[in-house]
Amino acid sequence: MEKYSLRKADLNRWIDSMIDRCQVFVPSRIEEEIFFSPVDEAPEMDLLGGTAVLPYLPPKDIVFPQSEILFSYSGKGEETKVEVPEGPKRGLVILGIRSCDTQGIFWLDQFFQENFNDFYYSRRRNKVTLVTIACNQPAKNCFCICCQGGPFLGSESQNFDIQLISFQDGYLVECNSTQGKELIDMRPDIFFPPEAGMEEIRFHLEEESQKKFLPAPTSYMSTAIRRITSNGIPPELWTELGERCFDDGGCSFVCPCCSCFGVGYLANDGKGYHYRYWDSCGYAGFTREVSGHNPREEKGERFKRRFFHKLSYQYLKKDGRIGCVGCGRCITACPGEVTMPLVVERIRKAQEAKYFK
Amino acid sequence: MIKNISTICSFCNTGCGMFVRLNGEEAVGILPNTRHPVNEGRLCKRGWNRYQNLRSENRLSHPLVRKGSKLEEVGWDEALQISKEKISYILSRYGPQAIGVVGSPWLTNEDNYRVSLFCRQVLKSNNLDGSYRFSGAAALTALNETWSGALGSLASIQSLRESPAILVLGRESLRDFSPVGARMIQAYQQGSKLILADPVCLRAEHFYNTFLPFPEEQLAQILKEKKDVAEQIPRLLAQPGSAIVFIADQIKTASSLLSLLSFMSQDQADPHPIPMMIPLSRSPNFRGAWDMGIRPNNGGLTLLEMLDLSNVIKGLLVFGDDLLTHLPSFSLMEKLKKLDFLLVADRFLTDTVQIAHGAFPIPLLAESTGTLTNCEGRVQKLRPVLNTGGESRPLSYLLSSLTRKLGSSLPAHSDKEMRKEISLVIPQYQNIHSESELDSPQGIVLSTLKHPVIPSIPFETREGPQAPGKYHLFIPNTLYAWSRNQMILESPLLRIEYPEDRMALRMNRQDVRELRIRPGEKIKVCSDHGEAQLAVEIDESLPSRTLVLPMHFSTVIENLAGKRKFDHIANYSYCPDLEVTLKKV
Amino acid sequence: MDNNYLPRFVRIVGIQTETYDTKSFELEFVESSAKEGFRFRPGQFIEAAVLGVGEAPFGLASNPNHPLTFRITVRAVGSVTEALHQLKIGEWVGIRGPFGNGFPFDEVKGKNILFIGGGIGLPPLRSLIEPMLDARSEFQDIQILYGARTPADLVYKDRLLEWEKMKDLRFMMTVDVGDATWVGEVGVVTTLFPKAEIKEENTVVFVCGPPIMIQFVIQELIHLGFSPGNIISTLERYMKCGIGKCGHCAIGHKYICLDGPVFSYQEMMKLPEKVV
Repeated sequence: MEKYSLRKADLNRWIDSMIDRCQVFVPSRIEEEIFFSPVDEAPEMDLLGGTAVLPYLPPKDIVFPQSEILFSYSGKGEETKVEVPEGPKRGLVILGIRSCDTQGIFWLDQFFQENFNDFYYSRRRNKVTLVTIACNQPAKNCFCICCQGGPFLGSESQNFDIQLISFQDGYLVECNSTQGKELIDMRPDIFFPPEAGMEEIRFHLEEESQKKFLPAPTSYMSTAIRRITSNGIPPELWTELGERCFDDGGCSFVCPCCSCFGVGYLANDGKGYHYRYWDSCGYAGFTREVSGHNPREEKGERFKRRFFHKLSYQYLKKDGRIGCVGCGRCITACPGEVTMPLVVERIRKAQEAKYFK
Repeated sequence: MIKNISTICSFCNTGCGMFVRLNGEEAVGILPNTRHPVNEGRLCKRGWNRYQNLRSENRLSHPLVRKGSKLEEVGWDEALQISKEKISYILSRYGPQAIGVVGSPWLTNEDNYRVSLFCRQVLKSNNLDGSYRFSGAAALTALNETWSGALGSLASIQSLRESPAILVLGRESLRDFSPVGARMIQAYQQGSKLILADPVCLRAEHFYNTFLPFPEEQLAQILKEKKDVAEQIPRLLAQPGSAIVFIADQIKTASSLLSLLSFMSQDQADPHPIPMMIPLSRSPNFRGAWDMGIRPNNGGLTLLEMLDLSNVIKGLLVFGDDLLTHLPSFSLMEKLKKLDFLLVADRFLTDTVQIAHGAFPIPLLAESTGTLTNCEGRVQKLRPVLNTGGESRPLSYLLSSLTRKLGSSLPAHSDKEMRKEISLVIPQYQNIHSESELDSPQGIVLSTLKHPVIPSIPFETREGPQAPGKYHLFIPNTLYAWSRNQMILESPLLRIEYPEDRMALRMNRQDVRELRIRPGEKIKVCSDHGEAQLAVEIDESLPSRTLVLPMHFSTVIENLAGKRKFDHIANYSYCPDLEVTLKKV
Repeated sequence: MDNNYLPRFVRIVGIQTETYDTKSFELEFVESSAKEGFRFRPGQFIEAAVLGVGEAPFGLASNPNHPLTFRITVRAVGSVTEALHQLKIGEWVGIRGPFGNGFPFDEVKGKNILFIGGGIGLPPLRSLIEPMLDARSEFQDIQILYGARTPADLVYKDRLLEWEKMKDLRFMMTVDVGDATWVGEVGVVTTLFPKAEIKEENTVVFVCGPPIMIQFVIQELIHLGFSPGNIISTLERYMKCGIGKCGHCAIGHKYICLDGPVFSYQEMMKLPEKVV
């Protein structure tokens, strides 16, 4: 891994150079809400510092949009023409993505590129370079520390291309891939070798950041993983948690790891398109068959499904990590407050409660 | 490149803040606004998937005119000319009181105000009403009585979480209106007392402290039997900040709501604090339409009367509503077909459009400017996130063109000018003229002019106990209409999520066993008035000897009940509960 | 990179009305390269699309040894299947696949084979029965038990008659409810078990049919001493993509479209949800 230092004042100049060659997404404000938006001018620097900034819509939307056209068609019978919309022509840079969201994209990579490689995901993903900013200061709902989701990414993480660590007036730049190196090589004039002592400060910052999380013992996660893996959670607990689910689907949509989709069909005068859209395993319709029969009619069953996918060892083994990166978005989204931390806690406490005697 | 446009959701009257995400002209996503006071980042499943119904294949794209038995696509001018001739003919032959006008809770305040001006000043008819006359007028009337006609801000959804006690009428209000439900759960966790009163269910989810069956027509009896509850609830709700949350569409009679309110405030010091009111509705501008005067005045007819008095009403102009969705009954269809002239302005090729003589395409709310008033009395501005589809033109264009053609005149106001006028004419809307405040995501909360006074109305007592061998058939207004809502039908996800209710009689598992029938089998239901055969479905939440048939299956219900019962306070008719017997087929 | 979401077009070259609500379609790829290159294994399925209406999975129901044309058998129950029923010979359908793991074939050579089919469950089994008959000498006894609700619900009637006449195949059928012309067995498919002289030794059972029938058949087989590993069936779930991405058909960490649809009862019991 190569390391550099970059002055904060030079960040803009670097982004300017990127804009000439790529589409650059950075966190930007739209009516006080923060989105990853393509920039064409100077970004808002306060969103690119050491304090965690998590746009509510996760950056997975850039590689796996909320809805996208699979193909359009026209004509009938032998006249049928099918057309696939074009993918991105230029490279895409997501700058200011945080550690947790970077890990979320790692999970999506594992999933979408195994077995059948997902055409639409990969043609975007292959164009994307991730410039992550480590979080010196977590936000109020963050629990990435429990999920190997952050606040800093270690060099063993294969997924970031560049990691920026915010210092007082500059960044320590850790470059982890050839795509990352290409971005740095665009501006050799602003990247310098790291100054003496920067390494130590980096680890000090990481330690300090870790201390800022509320006491959140990671063992909670492993208890949940163990119980879910062995199918050892009584159905009554799922039912009780399911009762508080509003089946609005919000948790799935804002989750950086959720990848389920449905397919819609639109036709008008012999023309139309098939498109896919984010779906949620929390919806009753997710498994309802044409006959009306639904193997997961009960909310508790659907709830169990969601957390099996997120936390079972079977999936951990398959996709390389658990399906939660600790970004805390589900805490904002869930009207019933049956969020990842709450469910994990309930599973742990269930040990002592009525369900386990 | 994706554009994110801040607007409000127009599915129901919660009034959530959201971003519609556009790729070019196509809506490709939704994100709830985390900074909006109503929803703070939450949405229900309808809201989250709102973008899907913005790409519809069933839009009403051109004006239509009935020629013979067929509807034909014509230009705006031709459709306007034909409509003008029909209206003029009715006006000259039968007079203005032969025309009825229907405004809509699916139209903005500005458009409803225009409809009201058009009806009263151009047509000079007093027959103006909204589809809430089928479901919801009872609640509106009760609120109107309480606030002496000037419903101001009724409550704040955000502050529900600090409520010490919340009375919830109808369990769907927690489930189906998630930002409201979210605050109720927060309140519960902080020690607030949640009391659920549901018309039909037997048990409540665990976070309700008290559960009370709320069959309106039996309420008096139940409270007499449950003395402890009867004493406890008014005390709880007398605490400042407590609230009553209800689905207005489901309230059957104004008197039941009023007597419940007056019961809740019994023995309280005067002037006692009155609980906050959150009247939820599945239509987005339920309150606003009412406030804008979409209701009969000076002896005008209600929508029900307009439909019943076919010898009086010859022409009906329906703006922004699909009447047959609310009450898809055979007799309603027949009544509409009897009209000499039925004009419909709507967005989709609805059932009502199919039987109209003339139809005009108007923009979706997502394509409109203008304001909606949510359940709290918060006036919020819509942003036109999409370009108008097809040949749609704003309702203001339709109304001003008809006005001109009828030889009359009305000032052609923009939405902004309309708001100015509304703020001068409707007292509780006096503060909505500040455009900069309206542009902020949280909108403007209406002024509360009067302290509410609950009229003292005793519970209506009901005839004796249930006869042996009889079953009690409830005919509630469920949120069934979601599954007939065009916006649901246009979304592939929501279409699966809200499967069409089968016309089935729901009953308790034990009762099904006793009758020795299987779910899905038919059974004969006999009332004093008539009989019907219905398939049986098990509903675990029902008590024994209680049957439920949603009021939307009105053809069957007409057979069983004969006539709808009339609520004289609300000028509103409803399906009364029935005592029935069951016979194996 | 292959785009597995894109349908390739097939032409309908034959339509057979099987029952009042079921039709079989013989299909052939429009492009000759696709036609020549198409191979499938018994028990695999395709996704068939009527453009603008939707897409649904169908088990391949013909002999994989003759893949130039292939068959799907479609019961009209929803919008896609109803749209398919409207199509005529010569019209085009978009298909994707074949997908799924398919039935074991080489692995069960040398064994007694017992097929138990119910109603519309026979079509997927047929993609295994036919190649086994082609390689008859490599298997021991082959027995087919087929049940349907009424005589009108029996599919592939012509082929059933042929099977009845075959010497090296034992075929029995039954209906739940007979009619005036029915002279055969009456009763659910498990009532055939005593007459069929089912033996557990060296036997692999393939079961396909409605969930309730599978449930009872498996119960009965376990009762007769069959080991769960020798009972092979298929699972059905609502699915969209067919390639393990959309998530709808996942049960535990298994995806019906990818790891299935064929599972042994032993595998089914390991899933975290009750499936039979």
